[in-house]
Amino acid sequence: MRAMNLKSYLLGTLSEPERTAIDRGLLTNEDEFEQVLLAEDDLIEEYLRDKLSASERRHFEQCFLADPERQQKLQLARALHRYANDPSKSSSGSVTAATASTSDSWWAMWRRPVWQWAAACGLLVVTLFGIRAAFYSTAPDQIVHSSPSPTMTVAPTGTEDVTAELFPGQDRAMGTRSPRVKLSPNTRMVKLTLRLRKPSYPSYQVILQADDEEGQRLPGSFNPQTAPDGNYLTVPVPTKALGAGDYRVKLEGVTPNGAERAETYYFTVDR
Amino acid sequence: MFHDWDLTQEEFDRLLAWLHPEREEAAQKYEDIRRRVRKTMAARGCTAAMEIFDEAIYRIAHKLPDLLVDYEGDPALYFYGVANLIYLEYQRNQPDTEELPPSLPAPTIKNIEPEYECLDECLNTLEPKDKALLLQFYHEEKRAKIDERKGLAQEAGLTGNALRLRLFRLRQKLAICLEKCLKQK
Repeated sequence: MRAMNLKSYLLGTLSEPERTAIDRGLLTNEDEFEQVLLAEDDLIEEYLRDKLSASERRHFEQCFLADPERQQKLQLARALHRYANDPSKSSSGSVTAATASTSDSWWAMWRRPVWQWAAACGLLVVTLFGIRAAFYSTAPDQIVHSSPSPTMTVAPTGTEDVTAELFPGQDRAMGTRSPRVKLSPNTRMVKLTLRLRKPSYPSYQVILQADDEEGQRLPGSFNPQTAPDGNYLTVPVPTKALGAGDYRVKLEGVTPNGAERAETYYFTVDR
Repeated sequence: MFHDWDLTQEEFDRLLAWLHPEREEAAQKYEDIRRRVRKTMAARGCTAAMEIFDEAIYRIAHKLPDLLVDYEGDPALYFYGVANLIYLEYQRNQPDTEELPPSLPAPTIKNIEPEYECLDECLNTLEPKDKALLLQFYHEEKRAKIDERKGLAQEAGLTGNALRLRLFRLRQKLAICLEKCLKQK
């Protein structure tokens, strides 16, 4: 079984005769079954590392994940990504025997209330300092384009709007932290600046999705704007639509044949 | 089109006996066939794979006395053949639907993700070198530096395929441990 055939098989895009041949192989031959299982893992990796095309991604979500066992595999892979990239676990990604056998791990310690309080206080101080610094260094309504770092840029504007710059592919499950948007009771609007990685479509539709909920499509379409360091989209979201929690923003590029999945962005709202 | 699961104990026992004379082996074979047939259904994008397999069991179990006289061959292929027919019926009975839009949310991760704590515990049950290998594979920065899987395989003294297999086995081990751990929590 060739790798490309297996990939198409798993994505449900193989022709009937080829699919039947693989079906029979996986039912009756141990090695071929194992090859299918290995190909599943490879495909999950490609998905998590954002290496699938828009169409493959769609088939992955709609077809490949029809098997509950594969959903579990995906969850495990996501959890491992997160764990391996958690700085509290290991700075290098490789774990020494001593660390591995420690029962009172950093994670266990982190879960103790005293540490949680300390961390919360620390976070509050850092956040307040960050907002203050941003307030004094950023002109109203200015979008900061300087660095494509995973941390978001927050700039309270004169009209009590907040601007958040997001980059595609900053998947929480990939170990990076979601950019955080801190909202005060006076914040009226969050202006999301979505950086576009690829040559952009003429216009986009935007779907905002809270974790655990179905997405809501924002009204209208959005046209990309050009900056010296690449194209971006500005999407205003009223703060009343944003409770505290994790969000993802999905972009669909509008084409003559319909909408195509383009990019996904993640952020977390703190209130 | 799907029947209620109303197999008698006798029918079910007969089905297991068809798969293997030893009951324990038969039960294992049953699970194995179920898993494989489900994958063939998933390759058609069919979300009703479990229901289809259950229906196949129902029909085969009822037909078994006749079947035992006529059929020679791997029972897995028989299950597959029946499941395939049920799938075609299922497809015919589906109301005309449009393809799902690409904007549908992916399956939610948050609620069903293995608990971090269990993952911590289970990773610590692995050999330290295995744990290190696994984490190295998933570590973004580290992996980028060592040219993806090929470099990691060289570093671990394995061929690319052997690494793939090793990681696969480690994940399997981890998944079993996690399942047990989560049940206890």
